[in-house]
Amino acid sequence: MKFLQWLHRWTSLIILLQVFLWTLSAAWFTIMDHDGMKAHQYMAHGDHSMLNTTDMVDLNQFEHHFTDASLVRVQLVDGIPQVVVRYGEDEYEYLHGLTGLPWQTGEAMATRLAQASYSGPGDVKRITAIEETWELHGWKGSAWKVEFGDDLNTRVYVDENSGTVIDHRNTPWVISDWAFRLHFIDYTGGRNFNNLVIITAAVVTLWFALSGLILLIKLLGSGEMRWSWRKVPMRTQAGDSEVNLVTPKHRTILQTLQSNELPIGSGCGGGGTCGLCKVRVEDESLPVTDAESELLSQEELAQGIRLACRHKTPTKGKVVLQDNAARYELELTSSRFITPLMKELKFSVVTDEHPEFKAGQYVQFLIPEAVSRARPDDIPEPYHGVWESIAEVEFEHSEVRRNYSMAVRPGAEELVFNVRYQPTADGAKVPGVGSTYLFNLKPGDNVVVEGPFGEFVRTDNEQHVQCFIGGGAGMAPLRSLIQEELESESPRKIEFFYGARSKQELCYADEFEELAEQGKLLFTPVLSEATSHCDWDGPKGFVHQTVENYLKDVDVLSRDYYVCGPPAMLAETLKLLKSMGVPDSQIRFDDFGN
Amino acid sequence: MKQRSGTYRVWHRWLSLVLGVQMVIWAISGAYMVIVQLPFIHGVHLTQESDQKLPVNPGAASLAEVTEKFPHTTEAELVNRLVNGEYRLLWQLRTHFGDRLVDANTLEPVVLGKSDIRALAESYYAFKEEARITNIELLTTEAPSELNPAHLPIWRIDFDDFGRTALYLDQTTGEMKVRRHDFWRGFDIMWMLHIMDYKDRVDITTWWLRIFIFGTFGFIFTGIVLLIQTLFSSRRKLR
Ligand SMILES: Cc1cc2nc3c(=O)[nH]c(=O)nc-3n(C[C@H](O)[C@H](O)[C@H](O)COP(=O)(O)OP(=O)(O)OC[C@H]3O[C@@H](n4cnc5c(N)ncnc54)[C@H](O)[C@@H]3O)c2cc1C
Ligand code: FES
Repeated sequence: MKFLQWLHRWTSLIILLQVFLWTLSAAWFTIMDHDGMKAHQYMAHGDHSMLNTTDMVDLNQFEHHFTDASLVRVQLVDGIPQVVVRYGEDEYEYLHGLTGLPWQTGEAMATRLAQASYSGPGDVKRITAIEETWELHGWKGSAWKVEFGDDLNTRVYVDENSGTVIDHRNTPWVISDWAFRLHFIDYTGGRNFNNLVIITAAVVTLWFALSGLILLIKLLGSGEMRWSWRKVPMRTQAGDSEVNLVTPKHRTILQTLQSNELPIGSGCGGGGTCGLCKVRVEDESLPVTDAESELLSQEELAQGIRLACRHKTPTKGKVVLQDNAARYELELTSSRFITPLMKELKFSVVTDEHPEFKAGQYVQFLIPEAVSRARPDDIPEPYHGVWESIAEVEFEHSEVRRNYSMAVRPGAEELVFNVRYQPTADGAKVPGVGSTYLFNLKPGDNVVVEGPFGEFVRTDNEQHVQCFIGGGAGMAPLRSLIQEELESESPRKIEFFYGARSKQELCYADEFEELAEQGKLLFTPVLSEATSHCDWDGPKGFVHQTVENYLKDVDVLSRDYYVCGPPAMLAETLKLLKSMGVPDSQIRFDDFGN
Repeated sequence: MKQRSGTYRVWHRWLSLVLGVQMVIWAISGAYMVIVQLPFIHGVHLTQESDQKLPVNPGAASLAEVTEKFPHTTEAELVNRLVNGEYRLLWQLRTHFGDRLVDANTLEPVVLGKSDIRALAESYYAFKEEARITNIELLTTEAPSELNPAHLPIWRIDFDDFGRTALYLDQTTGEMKVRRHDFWRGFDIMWMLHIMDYKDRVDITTWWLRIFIFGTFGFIFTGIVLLIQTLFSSRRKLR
């Protein structure tokens, strides 16, 4: 598909001009019609007077001309009988029927003949004897050019040798002739449309059109171009305001909301796997899909909560948005590497209102269609080694939506995000679209986000110890949650376990070590690939193993757990907590999906 | 960093749905018409001259006699044509009441019968040894779509050959007026598709043809915009 697209594009570059010229000349043809193009606007019908044979030389006198002749014709030209002798298939001799001498067309006769063939409003303006003209392709000999003073600048060519009116020409004809040159790619004026140039152009064009057709068929098959004339209303409530949307019937609730710029969460692009696109639909008859019984709780289902990507526009009832989300425009103020593959991005809010979010929530970035560079140009020296294996290529991507958690407490002046670079996965052609785009963002660049969304927020169990377990980009929501907890009136006890592969990947380590020194929290970084030559005296291995050891000696049930990180780490940790008997109500986690 | 080719892409796609199929048809029909050589389409190779050279001393009736007997003659032609198994000198007259064929000496009318037409068709046909005529038919009221009805009445002679050749001979004079074979018929269909006149295959001014042509300008325009954006923008966009 991509290759076909590429080919279609380059072929178009080659053939575009000619396709345009074909269309242009075709437009001229369809406006002029056949007669206009032939310059026959003022062409009179032929003369049909009866043959007058008085005074005519007896045919037998022409005998000597008949050797090899295949036809003899007698006709009237300017009232005089003319004898035409044809030799073979297309060689002619013209004789004067009264004298038997070769035919001669004089100026006066030419004028009369031209006038007889002319039905327009003009008078003869000028007569010239000519030997050649580009206006009569393929004609040779001597002729009279009889010009008429009319609106079309008609000129009539009369052959001297035969008295035949060769043809009419006028201004529209000249344009038409050029249109034919363009259309037939024959600039000799011969209107030969079997020449090699046009054959080549035709073959290229044929391929070009067919590749377009194949692309179109594929596109139709992919469902990307669905269209329905039937539009249906969708009543929607966002916060306090209610809007009536009108939308094509086949669209899902999610698509309708997104195309109307109403903020709605989604982590899997409508795939029914992330469970983030929750809405409440006031329509009891709406069925529960498999994805919903898996991703939503019984409680939510009973309340009428559904996944917006699983349902077509409901015919009755209202769709109620769950989050108090909106659209914001952000401007990048700083972008820096905090680990070899993770950047901290800070944004100021351009939109008048500041988003009001809770710690642990995320916003959705509307990544535009663009060409992005796989390897950004501001990689710090120490990380060059890590990036060496990442090819320096540019790739084109369409617009996507990607979620990133706030990595700062609510109320902070700027919004902070930690974005992890997604290298090209096995079997994939390009690295992660969203992360690459954001890695290339420069201070001053703007992005649009929607949010906040998410339920990865703090509990209200006053007595419980707050235990945060994370890894990788899971740092972002955990940092936000910890900052918010510390800011609250009476902060609860905080434990923070953070797993990384190496010391280089331990982001914000200084910040948390300082807080630990101040006695504000317990910070336990864990390294899984600590090598002997690096001075690491902290715990080694996977973070969930360290947590397991730690929990053996404490009261597991008097804690609230917040888990966020890479999929394997998340899965292992949740399994561990379950096995230790921690109830679901005390476990909160955020699944990034990768 | 931001790029908005979305709208043009959407337009390009939807226009392609409407115009694209016709574009493909234009491309296919155009390719056929340019690749297959026109003289071949016209069937020039299928026939040859059938009339023979005039005798050196024709000894025909004088023109004065001709015009006396047929005063409405506008044009008189002396030809040596195959009639009844032999070549005969004839006057072929264009008159106000249609064409006439008369003996050059006696000025008696010459009427061509079916066997004359068969012999003439065979002599027109270029591949003499393979001349297998399958059908001879006089068309008087209805013309097949490959023939302009103005030619009626006319003889149609079908040959059993590769291109299913059909020759059309004038009922009165026996002149070959029209040549058709399958490549011409294919060309005619292509021409029909090219100008979008599905009925008479001549009108190049129908409103739908005009709409398609002018729509194509819009289509090309969206394509150019997309082309410029995708081919030339990547370098500029990355700083
Ligand atoms: C609630 C939530 C919060 C999140 N918060 C954060 C955060 O704070 N920080 C953060 O960094 N991320 C976060 N994420 C993850 C983030 O939203 C993106 O999923 C992540 O950045 C990857 O997106 P991408 O566009 O870069 O990669 P994608 O384009 O989605 O690609 C991901 C990977 O798949 C591979 N791939 C693509 N196509 C194919 C294919 N055809 N076959 C095989 N492999 C393929 C790519 O090579 C790449 O490795 C969060 C996600 C959720 C749901
Ligand atoms: S968008 Fe992911 S489940 Fe609906």
